Amino acid sequence: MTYRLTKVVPVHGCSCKLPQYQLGELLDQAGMTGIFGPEVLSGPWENSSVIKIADNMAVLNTLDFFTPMVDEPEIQGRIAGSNVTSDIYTLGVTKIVSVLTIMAFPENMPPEIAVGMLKGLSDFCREIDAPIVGGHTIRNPWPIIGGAATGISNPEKIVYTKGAKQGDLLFLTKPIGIAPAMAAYRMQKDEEGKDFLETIPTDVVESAIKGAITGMVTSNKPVAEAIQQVPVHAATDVTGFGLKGHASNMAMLSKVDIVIDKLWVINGTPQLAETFGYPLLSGESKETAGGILIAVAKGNADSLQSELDKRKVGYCEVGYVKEGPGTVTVLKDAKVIEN
Amino acid sequence: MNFEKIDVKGKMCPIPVALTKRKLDSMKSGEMLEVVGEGDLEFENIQRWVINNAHEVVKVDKSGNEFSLLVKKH
Repeated sequence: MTYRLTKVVPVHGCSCKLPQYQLGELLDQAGMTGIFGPEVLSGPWENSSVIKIADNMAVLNTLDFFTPMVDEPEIQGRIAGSNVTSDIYTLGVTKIVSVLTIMAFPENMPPEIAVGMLKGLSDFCREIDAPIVGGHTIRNPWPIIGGAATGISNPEKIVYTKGAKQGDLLFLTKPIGIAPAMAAYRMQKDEEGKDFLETIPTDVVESAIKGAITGMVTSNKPVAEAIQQVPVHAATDVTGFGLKGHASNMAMLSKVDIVIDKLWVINGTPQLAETFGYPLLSGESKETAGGILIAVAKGNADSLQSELDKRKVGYCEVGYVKEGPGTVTVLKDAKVIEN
Repeated sequence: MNFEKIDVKGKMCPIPVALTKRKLDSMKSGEMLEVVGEGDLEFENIQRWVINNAHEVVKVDKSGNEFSLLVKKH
């Protein structure tokens, strides 16, 4: 019998991430206040830690691993590579000096699956010039793949989740809708699941799945390069907390309100989300290896778009920043743009 | 009053939510549905979907990994 990575786990990709509120409660209970020494430049809820080690040098560290999204091991490895490196690129840092791999595999998983995941991760990192220098592997009932990445940068060049300003425009660099698209991927292969896809044209399902996988294995490195050319105010990638959750982090940390007035979604995913009951059109559906949400002053928006265009990065203006205590509103009549 | 019940135990995500939605779609306003399932994630997913779609969670029973949600259709 063929070993299917997505069949052996009950949650997939960033959906296995602990909900934001639950994580917050745990950190509070553990007394992890997020108050650090002066050498730590990153605050709580940041995508990577940023440690200043010299006046002109900071080291960034991040850790990211999860359960499989797809059954093809090499694609799974690429998704994991994209996801972990994104947490460095999100801060506008283009230089990743090392990646450590993290893998867990169940005793009954054929070794070639593990080899495939590692190969996908390794190929992805080589292509973006992020060297893999080591790793750690354990036996575990669920297969897991991911890594820890280290980046370096001049501290002055780093862009944080905090920093969005009233009047900024918000751009997103990948469409949302990974969870419903990948649910369709799994449902296609499941006898009971197929039944739910009967009313949806096959080309819509195929297009959504293709769009989701293409998005997940696309590196956010060109976005970091573009961010370096423009004085943007804040940035965060959009993953397990969904567009609204990550925008909420930005709003809360920046002490501004955010309004999402456009939902840029993978083609076909609104129909899939409706069928499966995913909260996509309220911006709450979980994403994996998603795009970067960037807050930029109106006057610099053209420059940002031009830099993204130069690097063939897709994007959409999805909202704006206004004065307020730190809330996010996804407009009920937000325009839905299918990509 | 019509009272329906579905068992979503052991179903792969997102089938539990999709089954709940399909069943409620076939019912009339005010009718009751009991959803029996297992797993914290499924419990949260179904409950969130029910509330987000303006249905009413009338009763929650949770014992260990198993749960029962009594839902009144909007």
